[in-house]
Amino acid sequence: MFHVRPDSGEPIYVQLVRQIKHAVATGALAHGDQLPSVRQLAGELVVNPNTIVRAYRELEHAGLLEGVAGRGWYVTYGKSKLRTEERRKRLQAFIDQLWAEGRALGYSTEELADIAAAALRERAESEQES
Amino acid sequence: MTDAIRTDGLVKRYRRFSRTGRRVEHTAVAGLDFSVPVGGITGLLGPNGAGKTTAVRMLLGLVRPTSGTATVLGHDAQRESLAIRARTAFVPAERAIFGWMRAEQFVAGVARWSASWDAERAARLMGRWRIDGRARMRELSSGTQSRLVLLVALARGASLLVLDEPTTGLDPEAVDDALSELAIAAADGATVLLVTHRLEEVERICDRVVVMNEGRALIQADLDDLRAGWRAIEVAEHPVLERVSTWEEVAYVSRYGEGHARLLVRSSPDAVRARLRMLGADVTSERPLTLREIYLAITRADGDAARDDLA
Repeated sequence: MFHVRPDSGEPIYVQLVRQIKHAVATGALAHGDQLPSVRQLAGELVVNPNTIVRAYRELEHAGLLEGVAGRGWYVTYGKSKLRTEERRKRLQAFIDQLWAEGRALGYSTEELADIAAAALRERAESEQES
Repeated sequence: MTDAIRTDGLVKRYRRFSRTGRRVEHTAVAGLDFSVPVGGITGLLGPNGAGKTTAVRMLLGLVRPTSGTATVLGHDAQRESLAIRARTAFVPAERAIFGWMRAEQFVAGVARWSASWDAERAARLMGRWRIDGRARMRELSSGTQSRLVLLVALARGASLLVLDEPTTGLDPEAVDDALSELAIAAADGATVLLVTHRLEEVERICDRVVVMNEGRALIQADLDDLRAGWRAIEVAEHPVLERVSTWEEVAYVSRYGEGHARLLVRSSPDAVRARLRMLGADVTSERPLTLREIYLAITRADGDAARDDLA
């Protein structure tokens, strides 16, 4: 389900976090699904078990996974314990980043709004198709 | 106890007589300080002759240090080496193979004196790695011999695995298999010290690296921290390039092509980029480094300030 490229320069746990987020976003992983155990995934991907733990912890912190002592890790997306406010705050951080990068590249705020809206619309359409 | 291994000022000097009868001294390990935390997989890297194998042999009480101390699993490596070896599985670089013995006899022999032998794991690996238990060990290919030695190390149920080039002679598929088993052993709670030349193996399964050169540890760091700190920053020609090599964060500067330079930055890449821009230099690109690039930068820069505080 997941695959990592150790030589990409990007830390392996970051690659995993991204892939699990992506799997949740596309619905490949749904609320209540159990993730492979740390031992199993470390053996399959041939990566350090601490790396897997780090990725899972990060996702737990982000409210996407929940670790149940002695049982494993579960997806909690959709029934996130995060309060609406908190979710909005996190999203805002990405919007701020988009704005800063975009402005540094010479786009106006108006243009950025159009680009972002178009890109998201495209994604919504492809989601509907699939 | 948070460290499985800790060395303090470990030194090993060998004396021998030269052909002309003069006494010559060779320092294999020259004041080695490093530690390996409990759990996880630490890679011990370094060029040939860096002193890795001698250091490992001192950890297990197989070589007596000239000075300094090593503590392994809470025991003094010199005075309590038997206690260490009872809980440590060691795969030496040179495989001592009892050629006349059948593979299954070898496995059974090790099982007999291992307190926490994992028979299930041994049987599983014998099958998975297609080792014929009835074969004499000298009849096995060198790759199969390597696998057999590794199998025995993994099945001992040891708290600490010390592996000196364990994948020598293995084909890529077998390497992957062996590393996968190491990852599982670490997930089960073992501490692994992996001595190797193969950076791609370290990049894959280690969470910590120690780089040795000329008998000392140049750096010891969390692999993710190391990756996060090092960057290649490309800059268009600018007068500031004349003096960037004196900046503490800059490990290496190379000029190439027309009017371009590449800085290898060992820490705080954001601060370096900001400083370059402030001085009016044009930063054209930036990318993370592979472990190979980091390793080469560290060992090449040895001798100047490169060995300082990456830990």
